[in-house]
Amino acid sequence: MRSADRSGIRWLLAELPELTASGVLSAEAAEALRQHYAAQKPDEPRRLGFILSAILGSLLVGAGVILLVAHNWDFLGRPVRCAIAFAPLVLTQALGFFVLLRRSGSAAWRESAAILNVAAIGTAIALVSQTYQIQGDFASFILVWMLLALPVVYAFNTGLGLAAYFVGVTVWVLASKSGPVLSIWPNDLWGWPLLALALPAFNMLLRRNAKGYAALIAITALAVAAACSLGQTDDMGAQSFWRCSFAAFWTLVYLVGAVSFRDWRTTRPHPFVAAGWIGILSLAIFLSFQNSWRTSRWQNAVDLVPRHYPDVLAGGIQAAWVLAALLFTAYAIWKVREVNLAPAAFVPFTLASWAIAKRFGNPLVAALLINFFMLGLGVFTLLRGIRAGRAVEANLGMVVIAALAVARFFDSDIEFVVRGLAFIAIGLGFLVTNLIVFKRKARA
Amino acid sequence: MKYWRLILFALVALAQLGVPGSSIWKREQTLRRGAVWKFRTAPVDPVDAFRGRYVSLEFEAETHEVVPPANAVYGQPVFLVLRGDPEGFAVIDQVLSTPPPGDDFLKARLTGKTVSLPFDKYWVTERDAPAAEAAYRLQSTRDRRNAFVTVRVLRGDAAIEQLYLDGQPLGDYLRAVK
Repeated sequence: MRSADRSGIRWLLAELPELTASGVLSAEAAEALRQHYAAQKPDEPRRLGFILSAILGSLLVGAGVILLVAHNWDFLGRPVRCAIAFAPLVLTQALGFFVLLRRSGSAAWRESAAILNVAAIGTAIALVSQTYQIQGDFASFILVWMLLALPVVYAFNTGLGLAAYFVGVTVWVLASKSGPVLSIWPNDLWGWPLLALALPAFNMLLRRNAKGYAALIAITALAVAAACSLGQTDDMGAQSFWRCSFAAFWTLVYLVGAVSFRDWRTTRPHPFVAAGWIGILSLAIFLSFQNSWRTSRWQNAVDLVPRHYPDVLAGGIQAAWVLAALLFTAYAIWKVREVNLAPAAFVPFTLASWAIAKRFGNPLVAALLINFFMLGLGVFTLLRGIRAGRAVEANLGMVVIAALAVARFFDSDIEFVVRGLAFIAIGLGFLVTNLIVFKRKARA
Repeated sequence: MKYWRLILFALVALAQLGVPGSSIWKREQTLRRGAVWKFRTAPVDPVDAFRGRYVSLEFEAETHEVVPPANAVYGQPVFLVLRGDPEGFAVIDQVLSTPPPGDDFLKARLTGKTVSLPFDKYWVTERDAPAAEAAYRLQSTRDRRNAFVTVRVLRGDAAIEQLYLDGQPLGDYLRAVK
């Protein structure tokens, strides 16, 4: 029994007395249900608690060792300090072999051994660097650390270790940007192959338990790492195209949550659905202002014609994100009808706006298109909610329209009278919608 | 199923030991057999002088213009041949694009008409850090050029041995001041 379904079971068990009382279920059937689920329940929470406390303990010990090492004990000679650097590494490696041989079935042992080993690698490299005054910037330290940690993720099949690797790649991508000489170097793009190296492990994790919290943490870390890498890539490729590549990014976040994880929990959607909505709305509001399409970068040479290898490659990666979002949308339209796919229209709209703004240098049409998208998204979601009698969805549609209205409230290009009338209309819309939805619900 | 994990972990365990191990080996070679050079440190921006638990170092040799090799581009690695000035401090003699014969040269990075030396940090203990920062700032101001580091150089590798303030190793200097 998946831990994810437990809230549903609890709900069902709570409903049983009422169902028996109203005669929907016989007392025997209710008792049979109760026993069926009770038989599978007991050891789950205890195991999760054990895993969590094992991981937390390992993290604390690892962090403590790192802090001790950071103190830099100068009264110890070089050989002693080297021995101290290697001791935790060798110990965690011994623990690792023990776990792989004897405890490979236990998630708690595997996660703890992997995390301790990963912490010990960083400790060993850092302490040796201090002892021998070995130079080198923070970014290359992180890179070596992550490359030595990645095989551990595979060997121990660890979800948390995978998330830590993604976090490490994010740190590396950000650190290599602010480095003294690397700011415009092509190796900014190396974040992508680094992320790709971990994808098989990520796939294994999803196959094992896509609905678990380890998968949620790992996919969140992956999304953050991808966003940071995409930001760097946008800087190198066609710079003005970031509008489209991030529209694609948020659309993919939404689609992954709404389509790939559509049966994540029986009671609530995957967190990526909310994240996707917030991302799409925020970016759409920003792009609905004419000012966000007035930019001097249209004339940027890099923007017009990428000239050499890293720029072209970066442009290709940007385009690949947009293509991926469009393909995923097409797949969802073809296969998954029950999901609200209107937010995915953000990508074609942004693409059209970008092309128009770039070709004609006219911000008005570009901004109008995005306004039209938001209005359409709001109205569609609102009607979808009303039709299905879902108050949350109907109100979400109203929130989109209201967000658009607030954005226009601060838009100095529109007259006060027009704005005032629009606001009254939207306020009335809110009232009427809720009235309709709740009346329908009451009637049903 | 289990065996590939064991083999993978055995390999990565070797690599985990090998990476710090090889840096130790390389450094030990340089520290034992390398030639000793003294580099005078130039004043640094006081705000940026200290980050975490290391003293950030800048060197006079990095401020002097050099003659780069032909067809050199910004940021490319170069090999430096050193010579001593009358006071015994290292001065860059030649900048080459290929390693010269012999052991006594170091690898650096070309930054236009100057070079960036491969060392810019001196790790100190947490306890000594604030005192070291204050002392270093005092000793490397423009009129009191009394700070230098000794560096062992062997076939491109450069290992900082000691930071000297006012002619004494940092530890001795801090103890004397206290």
